[in-house]
Amino acid sequence: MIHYFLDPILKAPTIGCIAMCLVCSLVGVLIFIRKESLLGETLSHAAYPGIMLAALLTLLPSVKLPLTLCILIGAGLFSYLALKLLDLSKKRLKMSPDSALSFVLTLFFGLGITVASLLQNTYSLLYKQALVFLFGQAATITDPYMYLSISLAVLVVSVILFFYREIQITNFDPIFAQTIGIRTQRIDRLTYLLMVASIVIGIRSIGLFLLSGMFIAPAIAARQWSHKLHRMFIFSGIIGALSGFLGIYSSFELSVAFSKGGHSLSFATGPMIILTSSSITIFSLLFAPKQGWVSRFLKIVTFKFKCTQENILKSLWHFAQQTDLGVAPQKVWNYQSIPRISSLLVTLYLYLKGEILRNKSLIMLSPSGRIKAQNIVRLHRLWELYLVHIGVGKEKVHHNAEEMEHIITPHIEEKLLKLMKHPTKDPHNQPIPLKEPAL
Amino acid sequence: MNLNLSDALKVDHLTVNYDQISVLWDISFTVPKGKLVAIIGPNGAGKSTFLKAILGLTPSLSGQVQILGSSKKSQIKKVAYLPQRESIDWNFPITVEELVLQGRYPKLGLFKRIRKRDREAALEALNWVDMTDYAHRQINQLSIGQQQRIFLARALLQDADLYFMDEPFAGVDSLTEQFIFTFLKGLKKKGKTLFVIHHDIQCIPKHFDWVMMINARLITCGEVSTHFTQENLDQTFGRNTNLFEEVFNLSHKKHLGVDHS
Repeated sequence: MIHYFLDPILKAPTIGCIAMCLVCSLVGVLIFIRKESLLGETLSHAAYPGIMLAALLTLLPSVKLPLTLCILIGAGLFSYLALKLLDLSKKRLKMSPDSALSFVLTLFFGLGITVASLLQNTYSLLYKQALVFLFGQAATITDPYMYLSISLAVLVVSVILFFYREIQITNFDPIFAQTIGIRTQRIDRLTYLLMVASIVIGIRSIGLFLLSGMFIAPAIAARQWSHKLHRMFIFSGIIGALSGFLGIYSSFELSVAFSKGGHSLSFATGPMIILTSSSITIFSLLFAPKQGWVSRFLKIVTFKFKCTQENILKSLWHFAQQTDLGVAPQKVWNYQSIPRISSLLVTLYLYLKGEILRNKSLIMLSPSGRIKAQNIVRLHRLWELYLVHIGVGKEKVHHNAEEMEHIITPHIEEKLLKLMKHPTKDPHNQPIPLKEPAL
Repeated sequence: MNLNLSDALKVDHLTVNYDQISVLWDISFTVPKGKLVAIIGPNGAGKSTFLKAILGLTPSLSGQVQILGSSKKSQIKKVAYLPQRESIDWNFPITVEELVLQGRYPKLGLFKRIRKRDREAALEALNWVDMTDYAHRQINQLSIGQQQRIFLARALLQDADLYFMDEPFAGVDSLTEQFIFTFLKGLKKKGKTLFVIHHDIQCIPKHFDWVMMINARLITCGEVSTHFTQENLDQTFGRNTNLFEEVFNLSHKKHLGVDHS
């Protein structure tokens, strides 16, 4: 892998791509916290007519600039123009933000296609050269372009380090920011400037169509792993740079692997980068601790498991009030609202944990199980009493307490006890069992 | 100009326009230090604009604002602002501690690092609003009341002399409401002056010393005991102002080109 950074042919594409992806993923966080994720899409597509018109302009004898430079200027100009038009549509024409975004996108894109088809039919060689910017062509990145990307990366990182506090407050609480003397408009303008710059330089490696993905995916992924802004920048940057490298790595390796035996199959870098970063995002959405889907799913399952355990213990406690001999497990399970097989498994679990004892075909609570069950009954009755206390009818309280007995924390229990002065009887005149320390 | 050092806020002929439309109209008043001032008025009467204009966030067409006896630019560190709930992005990646620390930013400036001392001050402010246990939580995990408390903590950390609060009671439960009032009165005891946009008119005599009534123009500004009268309330909210509002709204529409009469 290390030869990607040393090989004279691979070095510029690799480092250039990594730098650009780093830039996009950092600027992406800025856009993410502004909740303007679609802006990247609109502004990058708006560069399309700029690219095509710039390519046309190079045909004029008076234009002496190289094609790449012309195209970069054209792309930047049109992105900026789109930004201004967006502003105008929102403020002066009273368009809603999402209508304005789609409107400007299609307007510029339509213009782009018109010029492109003109170019395609008359100067097809030039058109092919311009196409590099639409789909990106990392493999042909040269040293100057690499240095350009690195400079932009250094600039973006410095701006974020330098203005971190301003960025944080301006995007979180703009009015407060102004009251403490921050010029929020300057921060806004800086953000947009960085964005247009990343689009202009980024389209060469990732391509105009997919570029906006690099603004969005790493930021979403990073948000899953942290709820602090500075960490979000760090994670997003890492994810972005990693996607850049893995994208270029997989595109080269796959192209080589599939080109054996005469056929050649090429895997473009831009799409590989986007696929990598999107995979990381999907992985993050699923597996991030705390916020990820799997983690939330496990929490729900754990909670339901706890409820079932407590319900079974509670049922056994009620039976124990009638007989000391134990009870057939089927009788207990009849009281549970879950499938019998789940009840069976949970009962088995409680038996292995030592909270249920077995006497031939009958089961009963162990001393430690009894204490647990008693606490649940206690919370249930305390809650019923509290509900009556705040004016709920006696006959209505049981159902709600069935749920809340699993929820009430020791802290809330203490508050309840204090509020109702350590009661001994519940609303149905049943005793509230005293709290016993666990064995 | 008559300079009185015991005045917290002195406003002369303040007029604010949005696109040639007057939102606030020739407002003049003086509030002495150490008062808890309620700002009331109907929806859209320009209360929030009023606060923003005083803070210099909205350009005013004319008028002068003096905070603690001098022009506002130099006084910015003496003023704390509590935003309206709606202007906040509650899903923003920020923890309670980080949010409260923002109150320290004016002192720190751009480049000074956050030191241990600053963190301790932030924790102390959190302790004041009884939220120490939540320091490392993300703000969207809090209840509305808790969210309001941490914003109070941030304002406290700013150690300002004047506090401007845009509806700190919006959406909070009665327990938090009591808490906020105790908090505000605590600040007042320390000699701070507080301006609070408020909706619950009933409780004004109980909790506030001063009242300002605004409906595009200043109806009244003075002690609750003498100025919180039915007559003033009628002028602010009542029927006899209907025509004023109607013409006012019509002028808005004409200027925006959305008038179809």
